[in-house]
Amino acid sequence: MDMLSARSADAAASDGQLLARIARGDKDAVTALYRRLERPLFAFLVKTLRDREAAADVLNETMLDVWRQAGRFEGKSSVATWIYSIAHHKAISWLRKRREVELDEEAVAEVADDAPGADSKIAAEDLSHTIARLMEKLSVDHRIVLQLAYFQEFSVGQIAEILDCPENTVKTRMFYARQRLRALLEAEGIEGAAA
Amino acid sequence: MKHEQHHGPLEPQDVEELLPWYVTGRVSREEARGIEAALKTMPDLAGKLAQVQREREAVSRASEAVEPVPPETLQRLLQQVETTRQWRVPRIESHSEAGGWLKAAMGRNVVWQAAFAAACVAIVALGVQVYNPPAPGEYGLASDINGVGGATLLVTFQPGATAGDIGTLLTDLGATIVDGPKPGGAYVVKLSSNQTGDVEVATSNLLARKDLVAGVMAGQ
Repeated sequence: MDMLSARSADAAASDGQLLARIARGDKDAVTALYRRLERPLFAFLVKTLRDREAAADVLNETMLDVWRQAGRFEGKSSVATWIYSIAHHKAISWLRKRREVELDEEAVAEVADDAPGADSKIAAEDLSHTIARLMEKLSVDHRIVLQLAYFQEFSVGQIAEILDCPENTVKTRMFYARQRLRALLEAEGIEGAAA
Repeated sequence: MKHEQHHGPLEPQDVEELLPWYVTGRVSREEARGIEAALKTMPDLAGKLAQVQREREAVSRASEAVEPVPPETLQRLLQQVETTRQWRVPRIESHSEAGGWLKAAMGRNVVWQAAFAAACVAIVALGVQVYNPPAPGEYGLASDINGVGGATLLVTFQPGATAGDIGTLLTDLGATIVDGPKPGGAYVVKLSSNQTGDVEVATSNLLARKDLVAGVMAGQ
């Protein structure tokens, strides 16, 4: 098989097929799966960690674990859910080392203190841009659930698997994430945007 | 994680909780129907849905704006892959799907698992003879062996033990499966060479995991 054919075969392969090849030691399959996941997974990690360099490191560690542990995958969840679960675990470990989890709540509290008034930034700023900026101020748990639901488009059940928690916890966390976001918007003077 | 399905009409709180997944099309058909019915009867729900859509758009836009992964990340990964050992399991060629080997060996059938459990009991007595037939009296429990570098053990696992759990246990002990399953289901587990003199410890550690390990015997 020439290189072009091999690449199109990789593109057509399902995640499960690529993972099965990785379990058999196929390094090309590592590249193919990496290429498939790098953008969304890297975006998830950047938004979770708020640190590009750390996100690249955690992405690397995650894919190395996929290589190492591919033979352990039992197909109880989807391949993507399994890989995001590994990435989430590693991201939280990294944050714990940085003590960001504890400091996060303080950062959120600070936002309310130095938020600009309704007449300053908001007029010039697109609402969507404002929401994106304020999301950076949310706690890591809230950022993660918003990311996984809105951008990665995982279902409640898949997010529960990734975070290793009950589905009701996912819904509750999402509820509070959105509530916190509304509070931040109101602190910026955007009352009307609140649902 | 078991999916918690909604049955019957959705409560207003359920509807609101599901809106973030409704906008991404990740609710069940039944849930979608419930939300659409609620949109007709709850006057303020359309505004809440619009807010959710704005949030989703904002999150997606911000995520799409993330610059690509530095190219050296893949190069670094591939270099590490070259020098990183995979968690290896005995390969059964006809079951090439990842992780399927143990499932293939034991299956999910209850009757077969019960038979396997009975076989595990028998193999504790028979395992050494099957693997390495010795003269009578020449074999003993693993705990009788001292200081054999790269020593092997015959290990039978509990029917309910998963490949993942077994792999973790062996990795923690610095041991690997090198052969098996033998008739009756025993695996030949080799201890790392730096465990010379630690055979007793390894045996104790294995036997301590009664949830995973059914029996341990000395190999050769």
